[in-house]
Amino acid sequence: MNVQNPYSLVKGKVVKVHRENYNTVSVLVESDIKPEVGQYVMFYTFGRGEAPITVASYQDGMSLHTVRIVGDVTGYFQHIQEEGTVYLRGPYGNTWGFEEAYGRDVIIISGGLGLAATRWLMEKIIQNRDNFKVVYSLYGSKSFQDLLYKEKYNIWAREIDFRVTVGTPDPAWTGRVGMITQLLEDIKIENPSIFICGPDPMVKAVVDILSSKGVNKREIKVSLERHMKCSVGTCGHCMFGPFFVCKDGPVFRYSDIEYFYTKKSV
Amino acid sequence: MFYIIDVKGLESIYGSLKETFHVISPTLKDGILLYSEDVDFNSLPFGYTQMEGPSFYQLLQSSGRYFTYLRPSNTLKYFLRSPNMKLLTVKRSNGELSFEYHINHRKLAFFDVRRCDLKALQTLDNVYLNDRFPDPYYRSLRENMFLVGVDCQTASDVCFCHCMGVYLEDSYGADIFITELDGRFLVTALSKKGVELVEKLHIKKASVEDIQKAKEKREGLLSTFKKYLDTKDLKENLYRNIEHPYWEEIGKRCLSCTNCTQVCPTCFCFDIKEVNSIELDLSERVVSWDSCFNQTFATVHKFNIRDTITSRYRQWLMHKMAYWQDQFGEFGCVGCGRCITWCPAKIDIQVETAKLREL
Repeated sequence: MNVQNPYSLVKGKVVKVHRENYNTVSVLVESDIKPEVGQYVMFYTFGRGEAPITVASYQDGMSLHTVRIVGDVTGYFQHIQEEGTVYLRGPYGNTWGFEEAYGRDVIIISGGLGLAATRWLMEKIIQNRDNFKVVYSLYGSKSFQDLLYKEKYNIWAREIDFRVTVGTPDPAWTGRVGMITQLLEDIKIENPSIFICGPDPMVKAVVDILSSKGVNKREIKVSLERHMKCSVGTCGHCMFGPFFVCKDGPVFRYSDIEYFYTKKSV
Repeated sequence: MFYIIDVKGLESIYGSLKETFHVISPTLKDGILLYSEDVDFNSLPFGYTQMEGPSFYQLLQSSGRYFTYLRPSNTLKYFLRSPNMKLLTVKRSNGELSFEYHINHRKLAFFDVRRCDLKALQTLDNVYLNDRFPDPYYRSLRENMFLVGVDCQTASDVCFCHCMGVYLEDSYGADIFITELDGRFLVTALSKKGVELVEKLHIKKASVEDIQKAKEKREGLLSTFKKYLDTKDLKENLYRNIEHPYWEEIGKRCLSCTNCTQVCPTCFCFDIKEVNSIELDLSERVVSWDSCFNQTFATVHKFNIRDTITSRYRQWLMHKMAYWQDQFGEFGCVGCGRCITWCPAKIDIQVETAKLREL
């Protein structure tokens, strides 16, 4: 009997490497993996292990992955070369399910590296622009130095209302300075469908504001970050309340997770 | 199909299993009963009785009967997913990697599995053989397995399987089941494999009286339990009390030693470790037992979500008694009581759960 081994690694070719900033790199990888919007893959590096990395974009057999070089496995991406080989498995997790926002306003809220998890969603919405009403995409970054995908902002802004804020002033930055929660104060909120990815404290602050503006928490979807090791719901590392983030998520309806998400150390 | 045998018949079943399987059975090791491989029939712990309590374990030789002991201290998971199991070997040559996956096809038979552990095995099946990503390592061993269930004759002071969805009428996937009568044994063949094995031995069919006697024996077990846990609305009650200060009280006593998760028949959490050759041409990916009590278990980058012992104990108990119900529609605890026996801090999951549900 032939059972697919979920730990089987496939080979990928690094087509392009783009340095996003001082600690983050985006790699375009050609492989047999066929992800959907919101899913992630596991990258393997020899002798160091695996790390879960979201799919930031995908087209014609090529997936884009934006990696912050902070750990042992991601350290490998510091010196990654074009034409080089990478090994990965996946895709894993559920999808954003953006189709449920058809015919409605959309607000996408991304904090820091969270933009990597919402970028493909944004692109999909732009591709199907006529299916949505007003589309806001709000992005908050710690500093100007931390910004991702700078070359894309103008392109996105042609189709959707894309707004950026950075946490600290910088001579090179002429845009908005402040918290992402302030961006929320400026926009019209009329029964929107909401998609969020960012650090837990940001998500909580944003949800509080949205909820005070009358948004039903059922209409909020959040992509969570936890430590996935196996990605198939058996190692227990990503467990959060009754959820396996790796297979039940990473995308959750906020109303489903609120009880556990708002409790400390769950 | 019901058969009746004496101890010679028992020995021939054991011998017959050994012809086809790697047989794993309880035996006396380091002063306790442990599942081990290749145990001689004469080294089965017949006649022993076991006294267990919070942080207490004692074996006595007594009875003149056979299956008077209880479940061993280690569990079936030790053989299905050993503490360090090679997942794959990665070879590196000229910058390219090749992978060899180590699916184990051994045929295992467990001789003498009590109902709590049989139920625990089904609980693990639901974890590893979930529909989207069935685990081929687990599946291979599981599909080749033969299970001999044995009825307990008495419950220990730590047992509470009767409260945790372990029913006397259910044989939980055992191929044959053995119930000790006075000096004889009723053998119930349940699966096709089970019937085949027993039929080969040309043993006597059981009488209606024998079958009735076995039923009475089983029912007699129920009066020997000393523990009780009310599981009605347990999940809802625990969820309600998830932030109760009482968790801190347990956290103060817990050592976070991981004993409970190691002896638990359903605890499945693992880590994947990289074991590298010094020449760096070979790296093994090894699945090794992990525990939600380990300090860095829930660390994301450098942020530790469960940085206190209290939060880790809560995670474990909530998983066993509440989260598991949402995840798999059953409890993650089968009431085998091992974690109670082996907790050096004398923390008793049944006592704590009962307390937490009533707060």
